[in-house]
Amino acid sequence: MARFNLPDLGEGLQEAEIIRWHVAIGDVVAIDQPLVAMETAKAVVEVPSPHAGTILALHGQPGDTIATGAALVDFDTGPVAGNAAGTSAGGVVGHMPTSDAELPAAAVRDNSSEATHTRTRAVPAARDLARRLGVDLASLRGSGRDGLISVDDVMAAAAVTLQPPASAMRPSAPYGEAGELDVLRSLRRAMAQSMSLARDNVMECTVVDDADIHAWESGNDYTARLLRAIAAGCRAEPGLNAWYDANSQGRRIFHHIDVGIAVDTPDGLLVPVIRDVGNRTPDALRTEINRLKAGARDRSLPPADLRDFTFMLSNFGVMAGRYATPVVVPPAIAILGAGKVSRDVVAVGDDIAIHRRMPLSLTFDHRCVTGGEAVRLLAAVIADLELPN
Amino acid sequence: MSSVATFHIDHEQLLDADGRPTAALPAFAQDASELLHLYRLMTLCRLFDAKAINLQRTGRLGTYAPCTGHEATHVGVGAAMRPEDALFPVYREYGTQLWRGVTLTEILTYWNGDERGTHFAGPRQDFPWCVPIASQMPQAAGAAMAFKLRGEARCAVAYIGDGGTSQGAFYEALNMAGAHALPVVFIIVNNGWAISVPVAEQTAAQTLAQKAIAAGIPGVQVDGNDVIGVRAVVERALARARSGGGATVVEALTYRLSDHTTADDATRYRPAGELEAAWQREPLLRLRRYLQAQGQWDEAQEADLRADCSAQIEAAVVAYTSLPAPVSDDMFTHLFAHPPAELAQQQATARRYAGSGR
Repeated sequence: MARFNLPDLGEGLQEAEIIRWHVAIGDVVAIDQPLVAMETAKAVVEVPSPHAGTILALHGQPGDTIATGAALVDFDTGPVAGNAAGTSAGGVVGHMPTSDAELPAAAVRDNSSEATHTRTRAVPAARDLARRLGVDLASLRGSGRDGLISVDDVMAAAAVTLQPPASAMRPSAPYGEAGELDVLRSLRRAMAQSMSLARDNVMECTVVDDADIHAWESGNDYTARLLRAIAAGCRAEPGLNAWYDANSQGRRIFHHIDVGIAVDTPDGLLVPVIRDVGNRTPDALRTEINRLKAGARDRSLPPADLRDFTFMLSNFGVMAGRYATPVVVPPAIAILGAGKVSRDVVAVGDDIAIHRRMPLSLTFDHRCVTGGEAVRLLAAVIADLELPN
Repeated sequence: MSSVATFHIDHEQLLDADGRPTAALPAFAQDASELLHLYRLMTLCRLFDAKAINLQRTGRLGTYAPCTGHEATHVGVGAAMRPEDALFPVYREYGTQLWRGVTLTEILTYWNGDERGTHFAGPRQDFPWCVPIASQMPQAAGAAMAFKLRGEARCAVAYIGDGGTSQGAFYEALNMAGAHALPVVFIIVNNGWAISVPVAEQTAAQTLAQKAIAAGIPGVQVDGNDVIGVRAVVERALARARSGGGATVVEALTYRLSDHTTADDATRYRPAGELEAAWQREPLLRLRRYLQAQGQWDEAQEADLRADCSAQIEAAVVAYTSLPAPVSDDMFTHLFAHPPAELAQQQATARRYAGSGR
């Protein structure tokens, strides 16, 4: 049997996600025949077969994340299987070494080989750390070359020792029917990462107000009006249509207004981008909104439609909720949330009236935007929204 | 006001995208065996590229810079050069290097991070791959200066990409080559993309060839997918340089049909449709069409050629994967003719630990 471990598919990549298998167990494959499509942090990559033979095992399902160096495919490269593959081969090279020893050492994490060392081998820093944490090196199996114990191995062992028993992490008896741990994938994982990034970096400040849309003529398109209002707001305060670069402490203000619209999908949050909203007609905006929403739902949007927004809009009020503290995703510095429109009792002069009002929540990154800039933008947004058409 | 200087840039194409001659072909192209020689090497480059990418995708090669799409430029330049000339490549001009005697095994060895791959057994005077952008350009001008001072009828040939022409070293090299009338030819391979930066964002100039004008040397553009045109233009430039006429800049217009390297994903920035259009202009197809029209090539010959190339590649991969690991002495022996005492001590220490895994 030959085992094929996932190599580093780019430069220094730690893992890749299985998108789809092109082969099944029992298939006879030729060298260089496509095996699997894998998505890395950089690209979707077709991984070809390094061996001719019969597929014995596929280590993972679509959606699973495989660590670089972990098992991906097992082959039977025996003479019969090899000959069968040879006759169907479009491959360039008939014989290749079948041992994983051919992989660069850095990419191999061989947990199956028996340790044959008479003396525990560890890097000096790992020895020192083990002494301080009271970890017995002899009880460890190092992840490095030839079982070399690294600092990470010691840390992992110490974590096992110091943490409460695993059972404490599980629901206790009455809740025992709680579901299995569902590891976040794909969009939901990306959301977790960008939200953590926002929490760790952005100094968020939210200001709320209402736009009185009583004067609206019939046929107004909510999202298109909101986009137009954002454009009006950004013209009044261009400083919020910008990116903030914390490393260089610089703000890059854009002339075009590219609004990312939060779209809720079963897979998680997706943010397609409407370009240049300041220079589009309402009809053109609606056409583009429809295209992006449809593309977001069936996940067919190219990456170019999903990046480089300069301002964000969350139109959550179509479902429920009046105000919120929407989250700014760096490097953008502002997001407008539009809540549920309701009929409110308002003072009109000295009289009481019932008007339709749209609640608005503007979150901005206070590291680079002043409160004055933010409320002036919000005032311009409201003024535009309150126009009849 | 009066005009004190004007310039014009010629564009050369001898074989169009359909493989039809657009002008009288030069003498070498009248000889079918010459053209077949070019075609065979271009095919080898294309198949080798696919194999190298597969090796990287299966963990048996480091990051690799593919050459697919550039074969006509690379092979055409190689064919125009003489063995005694010196090549200063960037990092994907395998067609030129293979013509000059670099081996497939050496290319693979280099891209696996093993510098023994740059220790060419063939063209000893050729420079190794140059990953820093444009630093090879002044080196080529310097080598040309040496040839001139020694009175040798040799030329330096340096490659650079479209992105590299924005570097200061590019202009410095051109200026030196112009000021001293050096025997050097600079080949700008304009493949449209400097990793993810399109050439339209790289420069406001209509052509890259015209960057030669400020240095007082001629610049010419050639269809870089036309191997006959490339060889003809570079042969003229080299003949001029060899006879004391000075340097030339040749801009070869081609297209990168691959990602920048195996660590890149061009689908993230390349406009839709551009790649498909570029495949219609690719270099192998047009030469094959011409050869077929001349009755010099058929399906059987094509199949034989591919099998032969695959066998060569297979042999190179086997030689590459069975290369013994480098020894620790290699770190020391190429640095000093007479190593200082401290280095000798380190070398002895390294030997003691070599192979112990510690």
